Amino acid sequence: MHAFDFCQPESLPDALKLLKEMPKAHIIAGGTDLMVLIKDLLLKPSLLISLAKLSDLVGIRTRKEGWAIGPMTPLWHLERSDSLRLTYPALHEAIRALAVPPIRNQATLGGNICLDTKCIYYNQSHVWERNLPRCLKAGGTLCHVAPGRKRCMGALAAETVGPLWIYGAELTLTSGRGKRRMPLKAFYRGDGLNPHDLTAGEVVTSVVLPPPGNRFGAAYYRFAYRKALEFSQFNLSASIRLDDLGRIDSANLVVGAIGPKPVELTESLSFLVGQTPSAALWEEAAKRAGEAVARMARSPRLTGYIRAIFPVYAERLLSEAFTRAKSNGR
Amino acid sequence: MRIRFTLNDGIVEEEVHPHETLLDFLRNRVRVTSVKKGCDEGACGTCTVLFHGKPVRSCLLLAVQANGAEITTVEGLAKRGELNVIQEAFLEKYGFQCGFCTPGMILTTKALLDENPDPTVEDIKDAFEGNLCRCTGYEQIIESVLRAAEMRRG
Repeated sequence: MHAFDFCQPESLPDALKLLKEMPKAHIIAGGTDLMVLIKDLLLKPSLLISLAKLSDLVGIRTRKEGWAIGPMTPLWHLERSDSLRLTYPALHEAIRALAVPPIRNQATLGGNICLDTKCIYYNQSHVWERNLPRCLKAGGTLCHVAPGRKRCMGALAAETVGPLWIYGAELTLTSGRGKRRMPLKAFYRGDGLNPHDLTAGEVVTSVVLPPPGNRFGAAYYRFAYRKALEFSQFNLSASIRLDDLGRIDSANLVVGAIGPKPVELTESLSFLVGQTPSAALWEEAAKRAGEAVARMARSPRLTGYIRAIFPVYAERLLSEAFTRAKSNGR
Repeated sequence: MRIRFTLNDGIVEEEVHPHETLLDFLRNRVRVTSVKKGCDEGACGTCTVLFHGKPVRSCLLLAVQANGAEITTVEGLAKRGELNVIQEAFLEKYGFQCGFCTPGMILTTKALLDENPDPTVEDIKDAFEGNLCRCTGYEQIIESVLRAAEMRRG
């Protein structure tokens, strides 16, 4: 393996200082994806800065204004939280679908939020890569996924991002210069070369989930070629909010893993607002969502079979989100 | 870098390279060879060790990250020459053929039964998602885990 140094600072300021001062330093959270990138020679850090000793970055704090989850909280911890399963079921479903249990014992929520994009051409061993001209992400000028494009189309396949998006998560980023807060949806730039709005020296230090509120339901589903240890071909997060008369107040569908950032289909679903929920409505909404996704030039992965089954899953998911919204009428 | 951790019933204290994986360190330096190097990229589960009682991939952990940890491998299960009941159950139910995945399977069983002493077949399938076996077809492994649970409950 490529040689690097390793350190485990005792405080966040120490970690931020090292990150700023050391060229080619890289943060390591759980390391389950980072180690593979390093072994494949896709990343050659000079120093890994582990955040494992920063206990302030671990754990769930439930407050009136929402939940603050430390980014270094391991996924197994969130998976075993009954209150997380009841309050944010779509996020719980995404965590359960992510990789396999031993990986979830190591991996963290912050690590998943900052997960690099995945590409069937780029994420291979260097031996394999040599047989092809260099792609944009490898320092070349073309994209093998979407030939002719001048932008890296690596897929943002992180499972937790869609649910965090529909629950309206906010991130706090901290650097030596201070803090900034932003909605999670603004964190994804849409460029596989540099998918996150994370400037040099910055670290995600908090994830805040607002309370879902009354008559709100959300659900998550992913389609992958096998259940375990596979990145999604696409993942879906749906949410429905009902008004006090039981009509649809808002509906959202976020599609992940089909491009360098999640795709929000609010517009295709806007016709639902004010309507009385029915099975026919979910079918129509899923059809429109499927058409919108198919039109998107930025989803070259969404072809053939996957394109055909997309509306099937969208319909099931909207219906499930509605069922949950209905039972959440407190 | 100097590290110190608990391995089974003993203490390991050694100088390691920062870029040395826990897997390579255990196999090549401590000579704990039950921990196998299969894919070396987190896909197969043959390098499973228990890290504070939870199964993890030792190929995706650096040896330096084990500093201060409590690590269990299959070598830590048998006591005074007597096999652990999980090992007995795997023998009884033929939960292995070539044996390469077996240490990982046995450690995963231990972690599962420590948390859930009476697992259903579905619980077992969930817990074993991360451990590949190319011989058994998994049926005997599931039977072994069920048998181990039964034996542990007495």
